[in-house]
Amino acid sequence: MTSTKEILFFAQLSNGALHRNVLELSALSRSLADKLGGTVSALLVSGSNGEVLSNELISCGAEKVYLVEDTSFKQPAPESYVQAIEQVCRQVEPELFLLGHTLHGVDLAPRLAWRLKAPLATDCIEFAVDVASKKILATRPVYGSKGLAVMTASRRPFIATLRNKAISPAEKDESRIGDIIPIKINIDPAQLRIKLIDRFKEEAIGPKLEDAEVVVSGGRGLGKAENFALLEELAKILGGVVGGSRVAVDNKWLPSTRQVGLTGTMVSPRLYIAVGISGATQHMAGCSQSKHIVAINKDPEAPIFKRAHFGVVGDFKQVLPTIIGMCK
Amino acid sequence: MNIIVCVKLIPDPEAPVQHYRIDSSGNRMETVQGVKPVVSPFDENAVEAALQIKESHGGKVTVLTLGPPASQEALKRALRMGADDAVHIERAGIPEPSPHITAYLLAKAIEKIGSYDLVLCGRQAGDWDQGQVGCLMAECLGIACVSIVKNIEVVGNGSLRVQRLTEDGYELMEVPTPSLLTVSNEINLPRLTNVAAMLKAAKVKIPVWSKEDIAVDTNLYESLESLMHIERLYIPEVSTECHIMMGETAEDQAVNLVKTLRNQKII
Repeated sequence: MTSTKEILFFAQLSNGALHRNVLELSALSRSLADKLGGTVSALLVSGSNGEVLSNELISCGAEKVYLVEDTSFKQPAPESYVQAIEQVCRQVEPELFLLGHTLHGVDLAPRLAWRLKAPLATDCIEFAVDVASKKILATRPVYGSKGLAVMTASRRPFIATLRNKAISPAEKDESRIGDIIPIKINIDPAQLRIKLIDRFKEEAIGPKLEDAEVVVSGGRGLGKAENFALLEELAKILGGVVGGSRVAVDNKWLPSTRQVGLTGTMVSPRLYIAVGISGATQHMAGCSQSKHIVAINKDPEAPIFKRAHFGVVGDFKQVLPTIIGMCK
Repeated sequence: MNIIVCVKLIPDPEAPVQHYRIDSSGNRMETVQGVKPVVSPFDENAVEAALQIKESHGGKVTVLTLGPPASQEALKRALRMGADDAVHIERAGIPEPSPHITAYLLAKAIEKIGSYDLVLCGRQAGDWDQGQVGCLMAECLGIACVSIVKNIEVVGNGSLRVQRLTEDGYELMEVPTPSLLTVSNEINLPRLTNVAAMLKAAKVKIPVWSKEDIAVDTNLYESLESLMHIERLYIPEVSTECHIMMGETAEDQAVNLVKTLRNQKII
């Protein structure tokens, strides 16, 4: 049992490099560790390049990096990863184990929570520490952000996933020092039942949706895939990318990697232009962090006008060509 | 292929926030009258996926829910879509956000139902959106699990080929049975009910099981029940002032929009 309270975060890899959420997880871990008088550690499970990545994690703010390195982790296979993470958590006994609320994170967290019989709060957007009890308070949206629930855990490790972009990232600092602690784990081959056959990329050309400064999104009101050409044109002029609502993806007007929303990508551009999008809570959860939201919709009663900063009540087929003409 | 699908009845997630309030316990969101309950959308995708597999490979689809008596409506909807059987685990005072308990009770019911090849559920419920129950259940059952699946194909020797969403595309995986998959909306568009299924559904008797019927381990149940606590549940004030563009025509409004965005140095 550790005496100091250790905040451990999971360093997810994305194409061999640290995932962008590492800086957010590190910033959050630091602030909670300071409030609890604890320390910040990172857990890296990697197939190669472990030392370089560990040093990068130290620059990101980890005081300790637990490094599980084995060529069997070249692919992010959940069944081997969860075994590795479980064993590290049993050794380290962190107060809080944080993961990013990514497709990988939301897959690992509940598996781990059952194995450790540990409390789990997913998709959290804010954390605090209760001054009197020193309990960690995790806030998460419910009912598509209509409500907010503040949750506490009765046992350690408290496992939690942090919504992407919910908090400001830490600054990297190459002068930081820390310890790299290699950990050997045993993988039970009987638990490896799923076989990865291949990975496919479906990404559009241009900037990534989550990094874009300008996002032009289309929804049900677009009516058909061809109408996204207007959005593409506007996005190109403004140096942005095209996204869409779940309806647009369900109708195959866009690939699923372009979905903005609770179960898609969380975006926080400088400018978000929502075209023919009603403003369903599931969609707004993904774009409400945008600095400026413009809504273009025929229906003046559309809920999007309650969440947008600028609104045009009109048909996009008339509105967009005018905007494009002026911005060219 | 025998498939068990877990479904949940929730208040329509698209109902406006004004139709929601916090109940007197302070731990639950309740809706005012008029908000219709629906089957959680991803669960409908799971039912549809099960029906498609049954139609091309044979077998049986059983739907399972946990909740108060009214939640049987979710089972009836699935039966009207074409499911063959339904089981209702009646909820006795389970606090709302307790995924461990939900997963444990569903897993015990699945064990009691017995022979199955595949368990399907939605990637997350449209009310609390926690996305935990599927993977928790698979761990509890000790079966293989792939979450957030957008395509399922039955191949020979009782295996499945599934496509799992990733941040930049998807992974193709081969999964043995029995296994559990959680599905995402990309997988299909759920069907409406049809007359033949409705006639058949009306005749299905839905057994109601209690905790005692499914051999729950009391010690484990109690320890899972106490893992998480809601300190506070509230509806935040959201007030955004929307500047609606003036103009006789849509074009005029568009011109004003561009001018406004330029004046404020947004573009």
